[in-house]
Amino acid sequence: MLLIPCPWCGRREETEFANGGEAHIARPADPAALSQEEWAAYVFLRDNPKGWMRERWFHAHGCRRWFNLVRHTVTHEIAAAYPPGAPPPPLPGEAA
Amino acid sequence: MTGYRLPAGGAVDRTRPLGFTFDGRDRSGFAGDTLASALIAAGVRVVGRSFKYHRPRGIYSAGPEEPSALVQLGRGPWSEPNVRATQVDLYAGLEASPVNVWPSLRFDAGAINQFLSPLLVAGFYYKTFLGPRGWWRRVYEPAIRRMAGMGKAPDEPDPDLYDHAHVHADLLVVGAGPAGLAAARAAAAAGIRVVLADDGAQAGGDLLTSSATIEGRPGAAWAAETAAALGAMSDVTVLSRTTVLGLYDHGYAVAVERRTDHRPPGACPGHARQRVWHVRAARTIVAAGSHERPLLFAGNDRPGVMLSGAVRTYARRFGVACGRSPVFVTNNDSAYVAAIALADAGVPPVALVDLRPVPPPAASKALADRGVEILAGRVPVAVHGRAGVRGIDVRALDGDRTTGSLRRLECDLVAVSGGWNPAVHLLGQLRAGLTWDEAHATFRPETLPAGLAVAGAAGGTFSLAGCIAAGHAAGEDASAAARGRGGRRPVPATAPEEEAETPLLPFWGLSQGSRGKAFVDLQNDVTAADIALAAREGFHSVEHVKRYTTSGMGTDQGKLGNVTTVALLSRALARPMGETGTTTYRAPYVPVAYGALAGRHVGALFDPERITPIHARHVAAHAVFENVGQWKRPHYFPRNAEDMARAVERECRAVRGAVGMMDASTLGKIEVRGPDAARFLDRFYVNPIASLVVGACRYGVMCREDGMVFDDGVVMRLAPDRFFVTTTTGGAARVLDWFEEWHQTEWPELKVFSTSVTEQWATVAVAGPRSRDVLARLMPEADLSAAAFAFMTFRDVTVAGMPARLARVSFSGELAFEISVEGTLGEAMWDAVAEAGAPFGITPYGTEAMHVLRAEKGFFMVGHETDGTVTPIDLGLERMVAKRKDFLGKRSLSRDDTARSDRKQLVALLPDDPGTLLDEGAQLVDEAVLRTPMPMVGHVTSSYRSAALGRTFALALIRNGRARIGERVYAPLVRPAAGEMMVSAVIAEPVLYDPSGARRDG
Amino acid sequence: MADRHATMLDGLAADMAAASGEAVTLGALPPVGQITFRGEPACLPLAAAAFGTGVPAVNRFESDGARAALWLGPDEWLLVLPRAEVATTIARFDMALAGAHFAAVDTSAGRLGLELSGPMARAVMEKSCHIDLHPRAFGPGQVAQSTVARVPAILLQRDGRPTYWIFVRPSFAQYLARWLIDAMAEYRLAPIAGPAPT
Repeated sequence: MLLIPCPWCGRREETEFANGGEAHIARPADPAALSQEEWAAYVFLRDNPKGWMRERWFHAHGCRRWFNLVRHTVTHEIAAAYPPGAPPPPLPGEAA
Repeated sequence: MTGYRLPAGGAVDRTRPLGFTFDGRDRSGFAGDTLASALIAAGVRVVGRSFKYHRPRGIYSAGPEEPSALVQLGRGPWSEPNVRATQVDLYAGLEASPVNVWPSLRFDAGAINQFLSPLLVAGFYYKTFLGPRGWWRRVYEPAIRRMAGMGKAPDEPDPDLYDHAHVHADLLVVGAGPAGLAAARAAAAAGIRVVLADDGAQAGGDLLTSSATIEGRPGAAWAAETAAALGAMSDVTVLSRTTVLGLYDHGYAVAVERRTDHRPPGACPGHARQRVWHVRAARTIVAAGSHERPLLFAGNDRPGVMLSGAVRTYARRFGVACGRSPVFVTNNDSAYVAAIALADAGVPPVALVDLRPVPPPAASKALADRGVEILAGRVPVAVHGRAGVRGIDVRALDGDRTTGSLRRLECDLVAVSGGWNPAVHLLGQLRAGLTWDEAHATFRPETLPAGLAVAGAAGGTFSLAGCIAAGHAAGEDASAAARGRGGRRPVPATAPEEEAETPLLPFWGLSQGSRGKAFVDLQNDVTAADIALAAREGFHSVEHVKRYTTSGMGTDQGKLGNVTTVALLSRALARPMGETGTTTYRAPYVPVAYGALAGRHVGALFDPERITPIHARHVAAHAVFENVGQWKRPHYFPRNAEDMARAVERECRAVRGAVGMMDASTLGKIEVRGPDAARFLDRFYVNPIASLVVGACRYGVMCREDGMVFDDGVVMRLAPDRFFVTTTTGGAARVLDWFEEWHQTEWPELKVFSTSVTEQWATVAVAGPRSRDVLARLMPEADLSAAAFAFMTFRDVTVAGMPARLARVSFSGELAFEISVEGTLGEAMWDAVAEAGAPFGITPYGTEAMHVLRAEKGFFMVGHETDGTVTPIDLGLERMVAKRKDFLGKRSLSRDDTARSDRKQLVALLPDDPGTLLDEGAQLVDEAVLRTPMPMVGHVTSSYRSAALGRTFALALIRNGRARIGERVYAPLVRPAAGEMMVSAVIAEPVLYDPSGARRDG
Repeated sequence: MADRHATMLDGLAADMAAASGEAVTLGALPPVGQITFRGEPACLPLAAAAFGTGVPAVNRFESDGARAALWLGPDEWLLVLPRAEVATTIARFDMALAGAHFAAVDTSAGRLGLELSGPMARAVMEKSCHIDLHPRAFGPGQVAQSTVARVPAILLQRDGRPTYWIFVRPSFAQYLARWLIDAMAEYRLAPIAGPAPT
């Protein structure tokens, strides 16, 4: 069970949080202008890497804020926690 | 020597005899005994029968790895199956019986399996019981279950209490042997928070049986003093009788503490029998020690064959000799220590058989000085005695074959040592990398995840001084990490026992020259031949071999046999051990009671229950409650001896004919405030919200981005920048979270705040043609006429003297009002409405009547008619869907799949027999005669008896249903009395009652 | 009309009193006024001034005796105050924060408070909640939102006795009170005697 560093409350047990999947998927500005394939990619397609991932979390039983984590999906190591809207930090091992 | 109790020695209290029973016979042990030590002392050799072949088995070990001595402990509600006798502290009156014996321990009918054993090889389940058809379920499985079943689960509720607790620490130390104690002491000296958990009743681990001294004190005394000193420190938590079951990510560990198991059942009322500890530690040191490995030879499972370390433990710690004429068999030095201990306790071994050609010089001299013969370069080839060892045959060993003449050794105990396996289980759970250690012929940890350290035998360090040094260093590291300092104390000095002189000789059984079964896994009756067979049949992955042969399953999870299994598989496939690798280590490390995991979340505290402020009134009215999420909602209010159908019918008639009242407090409520509130909500609802005027209500539906209906409810506009949103009962948190998600992550520029006010308000719904009359009595000055107070409007008023928000909304199609007051006034408002409605026969109604009434009107219910695959169009709401604005999910409604004309659509169903009630969830087909396969065209989503319609009806989602009004479909129905039948029903428009909506204004 | 108000804990007062002892006591807090305050960061100092406390720091609460401001999130506080002062306080925010983006919603019936106090209060909490309550990690003046016995709750520590206040949704209050009563029971008994009989 993870110990998740909420950017606002500090480290808390995973049971207080809800996972929101892959981060940095912006809602298209004009969905009506999108092809069916483009819209389906936005709604349904997500990365599921074995390794480092930027993902969204919601501190559901705490401050009720959304934020992003850089987490390794195998080792569960957490490299960064940052608020929504902040620029995505480089993944460990990736050039900044 | 009385029985097998030595005249002196051990940590048992010989002044306190304790009576107990085993297999129905009275026995006696001493305070400080385990059940296993007391049974050995009493001369009990056979304690159970093996799982498959029903061979007699004796106690094999002295620890949690015990494969054979499983007992049924206690009786009645306290009865507990498959308890390892080695882990049970003796108490007066203890009752135990063997498991897996039928009909009795001495005469076991299943022992016939030994002669059937050619049929019971690896994978016999898959090979043997193939036919005739139907026999598996009726014949084979029940028979196998009776024969193979282990203990019996108690059939009464567990009377014991269990509890959980959370503890946080800078350091968790697993194991209070020499390494763990040294680690905890070094760390605690720096003032950090330490949790030290140990399986045993006393700290010390191997020190409890060792003759070594530490800091000039006998090992056991040093351990006791060190543990006591640690326990006295305010920031150290010492947990004895506590087994760490699992290590998880980020320093999380779960352990179970056995608090009263060493007392008779029921002796500690009010105290939790076991406590599950949830530990969160910045760092963890695993000092879990090691398990001795058996040696592979024919008959190595006979009662009287035991691990040599266990023999030493029983002698030194419990003052018990496991036999009167022992033979030791070993491939390493450790058995010499045990043999010397036994000789010094007055039980000189007959011989020590060392597989190695050259025995360790000093140790063998020490043994020879005690008159013990050493037979080097020999190996057992046979064990005599079925229910107890009477002797063994040994021959000279040459590689994995034997040579020379047979020599028989008369003995009643064979103490074996095949080397030691570090207890890497907890490390393995956390994906520690293991490597094959050639010198010790075992796997030891090599790479560890951050925050995890290993010390002592668990890390492959087997000398006492090495364990102490490793533990001390790991403890200093932990304190340095937490506090930035360490090194405050010197490493405790030890006076070592015999250090290993001669390397271990890896030995994985003979390839030939021996007959009879050599067991790899005693509990599951897996032999060396089974592993070889599995390899020949093409099972090369150790995970597959485990499942095919069952080696490493059961209560001990292969603590004794796993490394041997890997070695045999590797040998059969001629590949290195490290390449074969180990099976996956998973929690729990030892079996754990379900009761412990449940803790206090049982009975009335099973799961949080939510009740409304009006709940006490419903209880007083004898409501039958239904669970809606965590809420307890009145399902119906039976009067006298009414059954549910009659009560619901009466409640429905009351609402349609006069007036009913319902507690609607559970509906989710959210206040949405801010200058952008209207824009914000417009992006969620499929229908326009921004155009709503202050004082008005509008029903709205929300979708997810995939276009599927997510929730629905009524939106009220309190002010230009203030909205009051209601959600479904189950959707309250979901919708609020949904609002926050989009606001925080996608639209932070919108000035809007959402606040949950679900429980700020209690709501009483008053529905029915007389509802206006009831309200008129509560607020005589108000004009409640349809003209003055229109449908889908609300106003803040005073009702019965209480400030209230009154809304004209209806979920039944009848004239209806919803009165919302501050939660603490809910009960008072309920009482006031009941009193005002009494002249009109106002009737409280529950959720079932609410469902019937809404379904009669064709109103869908989120979770009944929707299941995450239903769009607003499917529900017939296309006219609600806004054309001129975007909203979440809108683009999905024009995807090819969602725009298909043959999607399942909401319709009503009228069974041809008006008395037949369709099953909710029933699949619908187009033909009256069942055949397989046949296309399913839809399913029933809601089904009720309607008083207003005078018949049964249902709502259903049917493929292309709206174009099929008037057509007939069929549903299979299973009734206990009538069996399976097909019921016909006609598809109808979904609104069956008052389709013109004339009744909503009264 | 105050006498017509009822809370979900009224019926459990006697049970809570009976469960209380020297080791730990449990009781319902008297009903208080509550305002859920949410506001853009720029308006928070003004809001605190209008309320009459300091700005609560992260994971802490500010109190002046009769009033307390609890930090719930970067833009959210729970304000606790005498019930009679809720309406005037909200009106004061409307004056003081005119032009700012905020929402001050009366949620006086939105939560109930329980007080758990005594030398074993921390042990009871540790059975129920995974927040680290060790004095090095949590002390008087601190507040946390988490779950207690699986119930969403706001937890704060009043003093070093220790005394905890637990605010929960009223619908959960009876469940939580019954849970705590159950968790407290062992501290009215003699401890399990000594170590193993050796």
